Amino acid sequence: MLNTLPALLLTILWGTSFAVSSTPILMFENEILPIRFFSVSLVPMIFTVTFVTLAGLLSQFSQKGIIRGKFPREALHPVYLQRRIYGMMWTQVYYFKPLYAVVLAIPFFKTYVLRLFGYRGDTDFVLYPDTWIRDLPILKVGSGAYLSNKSTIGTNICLTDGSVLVDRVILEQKSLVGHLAMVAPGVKLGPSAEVGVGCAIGIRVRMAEGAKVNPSCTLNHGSIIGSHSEIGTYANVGLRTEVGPGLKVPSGTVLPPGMVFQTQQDVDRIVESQRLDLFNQKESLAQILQRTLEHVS
Amino acid sequence: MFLENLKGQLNSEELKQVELKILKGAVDRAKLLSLVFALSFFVYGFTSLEFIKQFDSNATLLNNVLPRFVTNTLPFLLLAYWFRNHESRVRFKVIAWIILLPLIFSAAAMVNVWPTMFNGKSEIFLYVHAANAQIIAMSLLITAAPLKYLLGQIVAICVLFLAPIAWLLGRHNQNVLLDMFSGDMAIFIICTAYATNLTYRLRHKLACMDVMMKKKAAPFLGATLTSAIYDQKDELLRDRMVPAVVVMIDIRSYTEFVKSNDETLVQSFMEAYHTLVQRTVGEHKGCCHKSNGDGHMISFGAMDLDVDLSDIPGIEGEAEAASFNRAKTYTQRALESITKLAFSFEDLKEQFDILDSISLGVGIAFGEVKVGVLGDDEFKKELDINGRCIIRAARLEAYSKIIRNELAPDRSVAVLGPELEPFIDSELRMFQHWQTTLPQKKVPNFHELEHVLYHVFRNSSERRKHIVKLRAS
Repeated sequence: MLNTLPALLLTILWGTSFAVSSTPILMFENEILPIRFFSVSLVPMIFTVTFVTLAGLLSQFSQKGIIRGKFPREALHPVYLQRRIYGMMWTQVYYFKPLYAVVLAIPFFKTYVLRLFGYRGDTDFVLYPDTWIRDLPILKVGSGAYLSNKSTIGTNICLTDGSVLVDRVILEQKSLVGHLAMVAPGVKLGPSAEVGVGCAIGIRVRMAEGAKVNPSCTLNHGSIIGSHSEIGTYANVGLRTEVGPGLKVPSGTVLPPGMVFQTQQDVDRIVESQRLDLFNQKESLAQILQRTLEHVS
Repeated sequence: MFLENLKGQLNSEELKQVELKILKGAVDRAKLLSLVFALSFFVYGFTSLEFIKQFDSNATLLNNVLPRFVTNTLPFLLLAYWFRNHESRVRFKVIAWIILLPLIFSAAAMVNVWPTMFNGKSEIFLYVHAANAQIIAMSLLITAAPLKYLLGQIVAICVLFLAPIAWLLGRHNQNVLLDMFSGDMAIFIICTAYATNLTYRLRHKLACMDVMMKKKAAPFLGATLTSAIYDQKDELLRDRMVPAVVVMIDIRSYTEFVKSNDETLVQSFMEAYHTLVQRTVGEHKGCCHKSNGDGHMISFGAMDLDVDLSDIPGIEGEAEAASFNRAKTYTQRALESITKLAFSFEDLKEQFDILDSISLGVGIAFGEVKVGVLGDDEFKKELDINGRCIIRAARLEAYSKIIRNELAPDRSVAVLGPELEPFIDSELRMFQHWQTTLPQKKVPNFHELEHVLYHVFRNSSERRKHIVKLRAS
């Protein structure tokens, strides 16, 4: 079963696509050379349409397995099996880069393919061929959102206990996910929220409207960023930490896990205490260095 | 008039919400109407063949049904499919509906009817006149869009659907039919528009009332229940165990105060006191669950809906640190809140010229509480908290009387359970230990407690002296 089913599905997908796309060559056997050239030129487009349509249609049977939850990574588990089939069909399209690039280049075609694979949200958002997306039935991207190239919209994550965690990712209208940023399952970005370049956004993080996370930040699982708040570059927001609306967290700040920051004074207090800690460490290191130098001399 | 009054009570943001809600409803109804039209136009292909044949002998079932299926049924099905999500791009969808609807109607008329009229057999119009009126009425009345959209819809129908009919009738000098058509349609559209506008106003009124009810109910229900009921956030009502800081507050010597003072003064003072408690607790993100005369039950953290991360392995250590910090935050909020309350209570006494030795007794405990809906479906239900921690807070609040009587009979006293000690490192200097091991000093029902923490708040005159002293130093 584990070998037969994928082999069968892939044979149907590739075989049928090649057979259908070769129709112009077989049917238009014309003596006039330009006509023959023309019929050959149709082959790639016919192949593309047939291939993505078939992949999408074959994925239909397994789309009911694309649901939220935690499932064992066992090939014969009813949900995981369907996830595998869906994933196989989607990746046939996704990793076929020239074909996928053609799909994304034509808005109508992009909508058609996304809908075939079970996507239900808006389709007028920016998506690049190397932006990783999957589990389209539980992905929701708002109108005007921007998913940069090489960003990862991870609706699933494999865990060390042998299971896979699947959760929705909601990126509201005009939200932005920067280059190389990683978004984990269950993340919700509010309207116009921004995730900077190279950020790591943990499981079930919520960012409210207009919230901004500057480049190279880490937002640990379950953290909440209030509306129009800004997290400075290289900052680290701890597990379940909550940053209230309209706050500015300076660059490099480490917000401890579970803390709730409601006012700017709360943030300033933690920054000040960290500055003091660093100063004390610097002082003690200086003393150690001085002692060592005295000892050496 | 009623609607104008309602609108006057809503701010611009709320009015926008109302309009959006109505437009969403319009798109939802347009979806249903599209499905009805998709079926109706397909069936009409069969039922209209008989009269069409009277004017055009070449008409066949195939050339009457197939074009209707392609140009009417299919577009309506696509529209219904597009409108299935009536939450996004609502305005655009309403505008698209306004333009596309008469275009599809025109496409329907282009199947055998308008070509027949074009060829001089204008009498066929009599067979479709009633059907036209019916579909226009249905589309206006059922969609019931706001006035500006309704006017747009009427203009679009007139220009894209009715004007070609008038032109076809005029082309063959069918003045009687033209007069009948224009007269009928004018009266018909005016009446339908009036009825549509009434329907819209009714919907608008209901939507405004909905927002108003939410606005009025919010102070009584609190943020959690308002959100759960009006925003359909059912997860807020599910049973759950959560860590929380529970605070019980009571006015000491309240009975003597009531007996020795004028009832009006007592009532005014109590109104001001209740306002003070609710405001202070609200400002510190707490939730006041119950008030009974001079007593309040408050929680910090119980109503916060935390993200569930229990299914993620390997974060246990960090999750524990997060829970510790969260408990610390709740404790901090509770302490700030009661400190502000104790000082403001003294200010309130001064404001009302109260010389009685009333003060606050506060009990604070930390632990897991069960949040859930209690009560009877037919009578009353409430979102309540339950647990051992609440009983402990109540006993500590009662215990504050013992400390107060022993140390400072006219001052407010807060008593904390020892479980809060790890969370109050920076504030610890304001709290002192009170041993509860002696038999007469045991906390009722909690004999296992060896000590509690307490703080006696300064009254207003002492506070003034303290401030002067601080300034001088």
